[in-house]
Amino acid sequence: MSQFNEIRNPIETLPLIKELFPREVLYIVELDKRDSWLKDMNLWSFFVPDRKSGDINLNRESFLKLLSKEYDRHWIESAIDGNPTPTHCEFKINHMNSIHYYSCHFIKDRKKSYLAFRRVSEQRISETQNYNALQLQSFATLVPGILHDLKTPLQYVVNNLSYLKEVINLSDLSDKDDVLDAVEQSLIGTDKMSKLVHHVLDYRRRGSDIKEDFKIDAILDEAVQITTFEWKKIASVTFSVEPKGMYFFGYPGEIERIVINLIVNSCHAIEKQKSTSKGRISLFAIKETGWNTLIVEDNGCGIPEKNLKLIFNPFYTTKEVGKGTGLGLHLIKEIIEVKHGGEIDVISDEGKGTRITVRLPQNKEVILK
Amino acid sequence: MKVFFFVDDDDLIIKSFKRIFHLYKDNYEAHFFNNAQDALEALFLNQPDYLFSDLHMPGIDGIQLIEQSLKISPHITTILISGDGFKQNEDKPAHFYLEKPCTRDQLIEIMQHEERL
Repeated sequence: MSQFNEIRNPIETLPLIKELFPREVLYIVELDKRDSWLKDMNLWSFFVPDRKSGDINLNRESFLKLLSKEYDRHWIESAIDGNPTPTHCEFKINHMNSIHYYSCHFIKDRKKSYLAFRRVSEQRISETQNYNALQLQSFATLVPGILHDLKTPLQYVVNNLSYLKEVINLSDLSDKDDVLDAVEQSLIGTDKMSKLVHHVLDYRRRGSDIKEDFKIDAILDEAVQITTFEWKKIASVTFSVEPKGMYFFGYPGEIERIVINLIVNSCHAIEKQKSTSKGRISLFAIKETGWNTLIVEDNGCGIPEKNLKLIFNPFYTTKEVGKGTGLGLHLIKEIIEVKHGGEIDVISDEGKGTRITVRLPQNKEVILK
Repeated sequence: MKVFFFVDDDDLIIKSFKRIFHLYKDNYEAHFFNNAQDALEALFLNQPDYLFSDLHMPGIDGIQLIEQSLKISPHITTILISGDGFKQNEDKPAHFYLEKPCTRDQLIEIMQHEERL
């Protein structure tokens, strides 16, 4: 994957590489227990060229501070400790309004370990992000199989529990009621599990090839169910559909994915708000002239005004690695505008909450009728 | 008394269904098999009214079992059970479809429904 993995004997090759690449492009340090590589001023000017030498603490802590993402900091720490996985990491350093991208390789021979930092273009980073998205996708393809395999044990657990329930009912145990309660509650648990498994698989199954009229309440209900884990502890979620039983027109699978993503975004905003009162997420489906409109409203942390125009940028995120659900607002916007001919609108009040309005065109044939 | 066959390659499923149908042993004569071959052979001895079969099984799968059973005794009511969901599977040969996990009541409901017809 990279030229560094091919290095058989870094002791011999490293000086050669150092000679081949100017320091502005490639910087290689030798790791040691005392972190003495961090005392090297040239290394620092490699990362923060526009910073004056006097105002930097030449230590591990301030080096880690340069990195904005928890994952990257963790990677560098484990590289310094000598066992990073994977052996390669890409990160960005955001300093004095300029952003620099670096790729870092961990190299090890019998005696010593090295870190090779290389300046890379933004293009490279986005390739890595795509790669990560691909990894996430391949994980997502495993999920149905895993859920499927859950159904068999669920089946006999449910059977055995209902058997126990009946046997206990017929028995003359002294604490019969307590035992029955225990079994009954376990049955409620398995019932919840079965429903969740069904919901997630239904969601996966729902194809997105045909534009069709679909009932929005079923989609909202399922999206709320699927995201239960996200909102249960921090917020209450309500949805209302007016007129009742109304239909939306579009790709139901994609709309559901959008709703799921918006709910998850709201959850993260509510978590960030750290309010003492419970969060609130409200979903509304309403009809406007020519539009089927979906509104997702929360009382989370909101979006600062300066960021509002950035949120549809493909690389915009304020979340740590692993927190995003993969779609991102730019993809949501694309699905709504390009695939549905609709529009998305964000109103946010920092510290108070956010309201996202999605308008999808109504089915013209239906309107004509 | 109605006779039914229940086929699933998972022994724990078989055992659990045996348990919950044991309480109904006066109403139904139940035969359990952990593979399709045994069920097919037994078809000649016991003439079941219903055949419940898991879809995914090694060797002869649920669909093949149902197709072959219907050739041997066309009067059987067949029920395919699977974790897959059956939205795209309407062309499958069974009379009824159940999704895992299913309950004894669902099985009984199918058998009672059939009796009424």
